[in-house]
Amino acid sequence: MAYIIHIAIIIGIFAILTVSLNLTIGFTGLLNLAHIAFFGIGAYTSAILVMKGIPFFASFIAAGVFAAMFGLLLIALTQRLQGDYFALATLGFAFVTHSLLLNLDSITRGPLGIVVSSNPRFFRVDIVTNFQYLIYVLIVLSLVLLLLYKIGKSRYGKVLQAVRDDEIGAQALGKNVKKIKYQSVMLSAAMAGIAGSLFAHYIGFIDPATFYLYDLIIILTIVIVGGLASTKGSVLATILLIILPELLRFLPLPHTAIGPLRLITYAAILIAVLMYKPRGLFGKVDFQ
Amino acid sequence: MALLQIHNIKKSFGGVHAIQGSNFSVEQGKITALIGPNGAGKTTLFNLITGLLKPDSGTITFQNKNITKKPPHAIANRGISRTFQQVRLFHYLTILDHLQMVEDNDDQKFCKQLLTKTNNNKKKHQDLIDSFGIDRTVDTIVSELSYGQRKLLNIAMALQKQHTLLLLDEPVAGVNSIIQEKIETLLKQLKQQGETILLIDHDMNFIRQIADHVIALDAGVVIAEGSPKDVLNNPKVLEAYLGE
Repeated sequence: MAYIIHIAIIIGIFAILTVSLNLTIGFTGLLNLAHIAFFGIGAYTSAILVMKGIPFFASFIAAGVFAAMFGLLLIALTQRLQGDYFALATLGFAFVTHSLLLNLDSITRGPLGIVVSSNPRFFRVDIVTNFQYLIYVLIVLSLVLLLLYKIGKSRYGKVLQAVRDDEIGAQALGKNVKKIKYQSVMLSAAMAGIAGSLFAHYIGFIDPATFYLYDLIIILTIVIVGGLASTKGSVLATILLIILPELLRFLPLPHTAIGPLRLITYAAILIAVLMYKPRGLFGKVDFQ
Repeated sequence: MALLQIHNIKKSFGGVHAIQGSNFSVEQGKITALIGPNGAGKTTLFNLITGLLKPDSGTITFQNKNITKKPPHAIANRGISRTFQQVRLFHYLTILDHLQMVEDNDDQKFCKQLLTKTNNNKKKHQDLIDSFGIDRTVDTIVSELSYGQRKLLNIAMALQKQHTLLLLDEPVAGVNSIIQEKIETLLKQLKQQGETILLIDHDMNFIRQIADHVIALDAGVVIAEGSPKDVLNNPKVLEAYLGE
């Protein structure tokens, strides 16, 4: 049972991460490869603040706010770029963030990482067991999903999609494309930041390697498999792509083979989806 | 009264001088046609007026306010509504989504949109597209429309958006004769209603019928300006179109 709860918590955290990535990629059309950096920024912000005696919930909120500020920085730096150039610049941002986490020893403890010992508390309730933590994660996930559902159904969501489909057309209708992009990236980064906070306090240890290419590939694969502009798709693909590689544990394989096999599983699923269902499981738009 | 004034506008792309010091104005309540052979700089001028391109020098004033350095969305919201030669619609959105987008700019207010329920007003929008002869329901995704229907929708959107000046870039290009007739009838109605329109078109007979004022452009320079009769018979214009 403990194992199932653990998997459910990881699914919940990654679902927040992937649905928020889908907000920028799927809804707004920005191939933002810095999302993993926001996840890391949120995790580190929350962990460092808690270690300095800030209450858990305040550090959790700060993780979202701080990640959003970095989102603002990212979009300010890349606002003139589009398409592949934007994607490359955001990937560069992820590299730089990783490098900072690795080298700012006095703040992040560098490659040694941070042991996060906290007593999460949510509205006067101590979160002691993993089951309680799962409930907490599910509450946060539900709020995130509700927000994204409202965005998807609202006229604001249609403007995001208009920006994705044709920026010039949207501008000609009087839409402030720049502002929309800022809002989308900042909101998405804030969600990734709170996912990072949840991750740090659950795992209890974070280091720069956790927030790098490996996890970026996983969350991108999930978003593509689930389908662009589909929150439901991202959630279901998260469940699928977290559980499927877990099954490898039960096969009689050497320990060292499981890591590479996980990546092979992701690659196989991604290739199969792109070949037979190019829009992903529930995708509403083509991946370009 | 001049609604739009172009003063000594210049625009180059690398070594190509697309617009070379053009001057003209668009009078309120009149239809002004911008003509010229391909590559004359007509669409470039539209893009300069709507802020999609920034001029190298010169000024553009609209309602006596300098809009030269304003961003495209700000110019659109000041009352310049436009269509594009190649229709620019949002591939995965419905007709209804498009029409709601031109109603106002409240859709950009994040908190307001999340806290209020969207009023679709489908009936009103369905009546509108029916009146434009778009024989589809408002829930149709625009990528399912024919090119002509998309062109009509684009014009409907430009008209629905609150505006003082309408810029139409080759509204009948690439459409069949039935839709061409629909658009031309619509433009004649707009003329009677006193709309201010700046129009790019290649159909000289139609321009003769509809335009109050014609500006002929060649290689980024205004070569003739005046009534349709005068401009269309001007030797410089004939030479630009037909060659020597």
